[in-house]
Amino acid sequence: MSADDDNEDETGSVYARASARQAGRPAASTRAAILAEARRVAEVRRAPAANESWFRKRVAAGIAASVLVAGVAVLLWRQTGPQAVLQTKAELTAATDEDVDVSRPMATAPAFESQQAANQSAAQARSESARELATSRSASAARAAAPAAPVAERADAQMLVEREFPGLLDAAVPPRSVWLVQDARGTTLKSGTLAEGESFDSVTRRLRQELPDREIGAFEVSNVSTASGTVVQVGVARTR
Amino acid sequence: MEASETTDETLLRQYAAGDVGAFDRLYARYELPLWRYVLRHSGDRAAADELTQEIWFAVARESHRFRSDGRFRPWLYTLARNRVIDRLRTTHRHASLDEAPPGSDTPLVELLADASGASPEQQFESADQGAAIIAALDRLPPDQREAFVLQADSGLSIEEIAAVTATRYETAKSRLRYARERLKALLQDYA
Repeated sequence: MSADDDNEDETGSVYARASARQAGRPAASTRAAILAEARRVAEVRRAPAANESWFRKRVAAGIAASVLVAGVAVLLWRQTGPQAVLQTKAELTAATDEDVDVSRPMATAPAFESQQAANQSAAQARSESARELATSRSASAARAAAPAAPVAERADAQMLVEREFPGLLDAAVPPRSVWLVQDARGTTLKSGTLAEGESFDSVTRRLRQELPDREIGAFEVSNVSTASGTVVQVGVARTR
Repeated sequence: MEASETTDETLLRQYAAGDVGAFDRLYARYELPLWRYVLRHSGDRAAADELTQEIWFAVARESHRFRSDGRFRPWLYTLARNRVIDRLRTTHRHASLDEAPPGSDTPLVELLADASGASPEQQFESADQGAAIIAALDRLPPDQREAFVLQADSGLSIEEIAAVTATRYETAKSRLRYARERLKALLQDYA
């Protein structure tokens, strides 16, 4: 090391010793404030960890609740599915066509049928949406049920009537019974009302003559209620 | 620092992770060197206390932003320098001897001579060497004074001084050399 370097080191050393003696140290209150702030900042940083744990618990509880609700919804849907329709049919067969008051006036029937005829031209369009509606249910119904899967569910029957027989549910004197024949995709092939003296079985026989290339299954019957509270039977048959 | 001691950077990261004891240890290491740096540039103890508190508050609050590949000492003194500069800009507390203090047209060196009845150089003869060099420090240009204090009081290397003062290595080295030469000359005159 050169003499200059020695002098420079001495200069720095002299200063450092003098500075240490002269400068002293910061006030005790300054030191206390600094260390307190350090603790406060550390506490604030730790708090999100606690909240994060709480947040995670909330999220887990929410997911569990959603799964529970979804499970209950599936359970209810299964309970109101084909088995419920079969039960309804069993209940209805106890009140056969012969027991139905066929003498009840059907004053609006012709008018309704003309309205139905006017809507026939749009049947394909409506059945498309009905097909979409039934797609998700028909897939699971096909898995769970017999090969000739029953179609009519109460909620679906209501929607089918609203779609295939517009105005029926609002009619003052609705028809006693209506029927639809749908293919496997849910497209409505034919529909109509039960004429006086006619039954679902007689309609089946008639349709088999009208649609010889189709194997028409039995009508699954359910009830829908009109706005006035009148019950209308809805029979839905599937072709195979 | 001994090899077995925890590095400054590790202590800061430990504090950022929640270890308050790590902050205490870091503060203990740099309390006095930082204090002396701030005191040399702020002019009085009250201002130095305030600035020191501000600086360490910033260390605590910004510790989580400290880069994993950074070095603590230049980072600390950069925080300190920025606050010292901001304070000096607002208070004009520390003036050069060749400049007139606020409210006067007379350079400070003349005011000191008038007040003491002796020139600053004559004052060196009556003070011990240490006090003389501290007094001489005030006569250095601010850049040279800063570089010298950062090295002599705080132990920063030339690289670190350059990083803190945002200058090149050669510039920091030159400032240090000029500062030492001037102080050495003053000491020799004193001797």
